Amino acid sequence: MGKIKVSEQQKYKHLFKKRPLYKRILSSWLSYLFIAPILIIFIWWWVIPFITSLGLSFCRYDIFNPPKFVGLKNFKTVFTNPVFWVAMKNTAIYTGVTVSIGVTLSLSLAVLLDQKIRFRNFFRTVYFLPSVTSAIAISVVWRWIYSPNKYGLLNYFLSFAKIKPLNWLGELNLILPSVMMMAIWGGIGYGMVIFLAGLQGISNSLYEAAEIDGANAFKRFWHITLPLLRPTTLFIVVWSIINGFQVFEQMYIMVRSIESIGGPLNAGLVVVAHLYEQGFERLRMGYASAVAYVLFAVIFTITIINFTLLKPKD
Amino acid sequence: MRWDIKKLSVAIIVGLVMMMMSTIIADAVELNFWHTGTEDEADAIGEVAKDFTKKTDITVKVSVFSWPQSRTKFLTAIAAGVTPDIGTMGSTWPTFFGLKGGMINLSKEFPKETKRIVDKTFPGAMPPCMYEGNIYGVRYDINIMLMFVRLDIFKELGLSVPGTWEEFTVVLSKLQSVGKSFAMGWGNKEWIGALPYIWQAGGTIYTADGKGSNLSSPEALKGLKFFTDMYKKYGVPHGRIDVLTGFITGEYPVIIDGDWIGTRVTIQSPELAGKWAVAPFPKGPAGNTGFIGGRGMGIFTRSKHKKEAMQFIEYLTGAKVQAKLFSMLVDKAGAVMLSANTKTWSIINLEPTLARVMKKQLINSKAPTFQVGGDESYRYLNFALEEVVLKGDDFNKAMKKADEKTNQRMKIAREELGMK
Repeated sequence: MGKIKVSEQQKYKHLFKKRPLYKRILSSWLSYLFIAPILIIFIWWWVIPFITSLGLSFCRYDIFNPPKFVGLKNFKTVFTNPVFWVAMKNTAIYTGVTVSIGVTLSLSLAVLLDQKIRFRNFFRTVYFLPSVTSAIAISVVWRWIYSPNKYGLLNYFLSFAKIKPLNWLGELNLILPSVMMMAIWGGIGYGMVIFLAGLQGISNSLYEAAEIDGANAFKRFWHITLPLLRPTTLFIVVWSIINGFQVFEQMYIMVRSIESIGGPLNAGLVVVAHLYEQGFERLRMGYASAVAYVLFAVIFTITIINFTLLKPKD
Repeated sequence: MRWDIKKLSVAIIVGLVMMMMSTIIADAVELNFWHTGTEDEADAIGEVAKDFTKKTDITVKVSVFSWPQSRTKFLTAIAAGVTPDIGTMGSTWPTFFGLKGGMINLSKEFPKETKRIVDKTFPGAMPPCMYEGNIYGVRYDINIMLMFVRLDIFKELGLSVPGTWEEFTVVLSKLQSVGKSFAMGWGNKEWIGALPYIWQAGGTIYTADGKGSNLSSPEALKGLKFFTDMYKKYGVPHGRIDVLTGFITGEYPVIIDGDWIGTRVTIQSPELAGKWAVAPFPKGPAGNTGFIGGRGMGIFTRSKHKKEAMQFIEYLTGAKVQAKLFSMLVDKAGAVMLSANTKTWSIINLEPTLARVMKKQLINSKAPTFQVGGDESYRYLNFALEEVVLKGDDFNKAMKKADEKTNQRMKIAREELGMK
């Protein structure tokens, strides 16, 4: 028997032998051809800049002169620069507030619009509309809404309640909340749609069984809806936090003044805006790359924590 | 095989013809012109360039970039080596790019043409384009700060147009008492707005040798104190306020803004004709020096058509062409493009009283000089102004900090360029 096995293995050994990589690629060239465009774009616009940026973060580079290796100096500068910490603090506040309020509102809206109410589809469309509008267009419109003197739309409506005109984008304590308000308004539609999709996957029989057992609406939501929406919630929270930490356009359009991308006394400075200003306006490409990698590390760590905390239980 | 040779011969002949054609095409010079501003302005430049093409056979391709994206575009173009031939930009940028090697020293490469242009330019407009006697750019246009007054409201309130700082303070106080205010459009709570007051108090922003900050001088501090007091004592609004609407509705009966406001008031509110006037800055202890802004223009080092580019720049800065640009922009966009060429002013169709006051203020105005590290340091003065106005911080402490930070930044910038 043993002899037969050995001879059969030898007979078919060419089938078990690992072929060289180029042969394997050539044998399925058509598949590779199909994925080639996106792969090339991915490598050219993502992998190469990602690696180049890592290299630059260890260099001093002003785009006019060749990069000069400076070791970890840029990272040291990042951690000792008070402006970076202002930007990080603002970004963390922005992300914390917009994600917590945004996700709560998205879920509430999704639950409401999952009920059989009239004009349900109309409301779903209305709430989703800001998500398909460019952040720049939204920011320009909101800048007008927030106009500081009595000619601003928001101030005009507030005047009916005898509230004096507010300098929404000019007062230090109002800048960040004003942008956050706009971001929450613009972001809830996307979360709502994802939550709605999640809600469709929960079987009605669970609610019926709970109802028979005497569970009220809150208990049904707390013990059925929320736990079963855990994977959806995880996705939305992770996605929103990543977006929150990468916020740029809204701040750039609404907050920046001539000399400061973060507005008055950097009250609206966020990390990506700080990175952009340092890299593309002050020509400190090495420092800007280091900021990018610190931001990447922060987002990566928070994402891991989220996955650990919100991972669906078996 | 014979047939293949035939095909090869045809291919060679076609190739040769194409090479010859490309040489002929290459002989026709096309200038790439990057403009910082609006589509309307770029169209107007393209239009006047047609006459230039008729005379010279040199074509001009105009591309436009908005102000916020322009500096980054030029920087990345210089870094990538894909610059245009000519660019219009912030007035100090040609000097900055020139010192970095991205733009040419016009006074060195084209001394005669540059002198001809500079001789016709308002002297106060040139400092940003020059450094240590070298000229890296010439002016494409200028803007000036002016005071606009609602005469009807002033009459109602028993006020007269302020001619001095003291008279201006009386106006600020009276307006505040009746729930109205003075407002600044251009330079609101920023270094641009503060600079005229520094000059009017006899101060300067840089030391005489241009190597450091002069913000701690008593004169500069006096001007800055007057500027910040307007906000702190008299409740002058800050931020992105709608100055034009406020002026038209009478909420802000006196404003300081750019020259363009005059045309906008005329177009938007013709019913206000005769009820408002333009006035020069109130005089401070050392005069009523105003601020000149606007754009500079220069040639990039990598341009293969520098001579033709200079030819076009001289054409574009000529009085007649500037007057044509002025009329086209007023007609098409209701926008005013003021010329830095002194001779243009006598041939443009500007309301005589407005023109007289503007010219008077223009002669008494200047643009800030270019200094190494200067552009990067203005933010420190801005921060100091914001700390005083928005946070109520101690004025002297805030200015001292701005002075120190400016000195540090200018020192670093000089070291980066290998200067002492």
